[in-house]
Amino acid sequence: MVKIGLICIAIIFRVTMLFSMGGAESNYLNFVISGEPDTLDPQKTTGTLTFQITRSLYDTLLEPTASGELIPALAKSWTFEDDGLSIQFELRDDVYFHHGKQFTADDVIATFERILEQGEDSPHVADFRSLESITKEDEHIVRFNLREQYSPILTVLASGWSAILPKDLIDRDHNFSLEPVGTGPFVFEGWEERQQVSMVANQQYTLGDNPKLDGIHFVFITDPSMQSQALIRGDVDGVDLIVEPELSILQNSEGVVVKVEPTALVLVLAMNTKHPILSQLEVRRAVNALIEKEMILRSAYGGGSPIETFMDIGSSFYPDSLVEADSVVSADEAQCILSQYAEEDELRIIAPQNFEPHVSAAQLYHEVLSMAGLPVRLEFYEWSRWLDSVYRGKDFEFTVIGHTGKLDPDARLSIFGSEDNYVQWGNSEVGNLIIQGQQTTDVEMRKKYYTEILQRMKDELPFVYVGTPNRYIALRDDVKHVIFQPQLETYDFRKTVKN
Amino acid sequence: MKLLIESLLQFLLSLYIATSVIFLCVQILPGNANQLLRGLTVTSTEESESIEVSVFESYMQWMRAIVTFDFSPSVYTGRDISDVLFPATRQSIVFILLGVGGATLLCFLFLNLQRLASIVSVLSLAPPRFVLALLLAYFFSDVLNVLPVWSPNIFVRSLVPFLSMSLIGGGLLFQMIDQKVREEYNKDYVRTSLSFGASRRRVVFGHILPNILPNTIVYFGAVISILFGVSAVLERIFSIPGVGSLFVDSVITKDIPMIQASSGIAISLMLFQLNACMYISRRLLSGKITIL
Repeated sequence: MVKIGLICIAIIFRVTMLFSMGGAESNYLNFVISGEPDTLDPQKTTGTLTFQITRSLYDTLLEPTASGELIPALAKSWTFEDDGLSIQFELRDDVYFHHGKQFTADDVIATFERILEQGEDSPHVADFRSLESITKEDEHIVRFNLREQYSPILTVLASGWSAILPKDLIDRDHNFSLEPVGTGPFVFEGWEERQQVSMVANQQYTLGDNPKLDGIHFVFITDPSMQSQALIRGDVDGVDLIVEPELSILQNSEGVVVKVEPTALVLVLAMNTKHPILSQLEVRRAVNALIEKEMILRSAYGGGSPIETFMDIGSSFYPDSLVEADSVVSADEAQCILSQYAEEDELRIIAPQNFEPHVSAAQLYHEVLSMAGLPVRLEFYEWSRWLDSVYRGKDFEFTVIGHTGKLDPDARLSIFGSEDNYVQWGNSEVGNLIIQGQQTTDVEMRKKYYTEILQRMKDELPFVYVGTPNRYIALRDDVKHVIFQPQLETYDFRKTVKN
Repeated sequence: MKLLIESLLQFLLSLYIATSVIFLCVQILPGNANQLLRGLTVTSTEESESIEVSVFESYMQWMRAIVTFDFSPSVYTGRDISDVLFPATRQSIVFILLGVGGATLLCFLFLNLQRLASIVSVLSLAPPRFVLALLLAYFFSDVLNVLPVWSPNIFVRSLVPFLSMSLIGGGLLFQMIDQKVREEYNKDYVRTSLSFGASRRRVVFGHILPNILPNTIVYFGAVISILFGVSAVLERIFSIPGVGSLFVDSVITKDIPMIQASSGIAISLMLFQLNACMYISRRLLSGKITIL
């Protein structure tokens, strides 16, 4: 009986090996993402996981390069008219949706009307508040009429939630959540619930060469050690968002290449500028002088690039040069300033407990500031409590957080036009600069306005600007040309090859 | 018939207690569970006050949903819960039953290999479940290079977790049955059989096991309950779309209707029904009842 059992087991293993070998040899890319998306309808979610998948299924009128520059996609060209109150887009006439219908101006109109009609149900409707109407000039020309001059609308149109859907299916109330149909480089094949989303190459793709891959499996593996084991063995071809200890293991594994990509996060130690102690610029400067940014990035966030102001270092709007403050505070002076408040009530350093790197960073800040004599204590909040009390309620002294990437600087900076933001810093002068930035379409002029805002933020220091962390992506060494877009956190697999 | 009614009542009572406890747990979670269950999304304080519902009302809705199987849609995906829950439950039942089958085979194998089996069974039970699963994955994929860690084919992907389930279940079953076998060894009929020259294997499989089967069948219920917990861990590690991983995922995404549905319905139903089956089988095999 034992012998028969062993023979059966050997046969099962043999058959299994044949099955698994078959999967590994194909020209499909098995790319691991850390969870399952909520939907594949790009207009009904804010989830990054959705956009990581839908980037390969849909196209937008324009698209961002890896550095955030906007280039033509479904629109061949665009021009601002009527003093920036309308934008005319000339559309490509050689694009077809996956179900065979040709892409026209009607699809663009139907797509954006769908977003606007959803009203409050659409998580991105606020991005289109400047849009008054869209008119069809020709079968392949559309005009976006704006209520006010608002140049950041272009980056909205290049974002994943502005993906163009076919009008005929919108009219039929098609379920794009489960059966996405776009014009993208890959055609949706299937969604095996809580396992994978599969897609095959679109052989009629005209926004560039046809994809080099036969298809992609977006695989959902949540356990980090299983992700790295599967990659080392070659069962999968790529894994996103690697953290320690898997990072060290993968860096030392044969056949695996770990790519270091910049993110668009801005990591900060935020200070409540209305607190009696932290309202003093001298104190905020002292806190800044004591924080060693590189040490925090290395110890808590796995490495990154330090920044001097409220902008991610990879952005084309990050200022080339910033003027140093008149009175630079040395570490000894900073200690002197902070120790004056040794007898005051404790200041809270609040961190969201669900994100381990922020918790580690908070512990480091606590150690540095308490050694300098400032009375501080650590508090960790559950994420919804952090949003309610800290971000909306402004009930904090220090908090540790990262601000997510934005394609346009306006989205990152517009909250500082008044003091109605969580650090309660801002003023009308900054507000005027923000409006000027919104109203001009000249990129150089916009850069000038935003540099001025960022210089003020560097001078007045409502935050300790810690840095932009790295993102680690591990790929098999035979996988080439995977392009990561940091602001949208999406991947472009159009040129990816697997030898 | 009396037995069936007795089992059914026992099951309903257990289900009632389990679902009520789950309801209470959900209520003490941060965030407004009542609103999520009613499918309402509010932003301002004024609005939230106007739709505030009492805990009792919400409890009644919860119980009604269990009886009618009509839950709110998933908060995370917006999908109908029954569309997700029933395939996941089916997947888990198949996975667990295969695990029990593997465990039974392994238990018989262990009964053959007495001394070695004791060591293996202890080793299989000693580490935490997920550690054993990861060790087996490493052993079969990296050391022996016979099984992949991940495969697009769910059958292939399920082999390592199936082996883990079998090893854990087999170890447990062996520990329990072996104890009974040792007790039987001192009885007259075993000693007589051995004195007539019967082999140990023949005595164990031919005489002892048929005699102790009615009393040991209930162990399978215990093993199923344990394997259910094990499967939740393994499903999540190996990306198997069962009800255990569904429950864990819904906790992470704070999908309260899905948490309630997956834990309240699937887990309770599965555990109590399987235990009721074990109870009835035991009664049948022990000869106390002849017909239902």
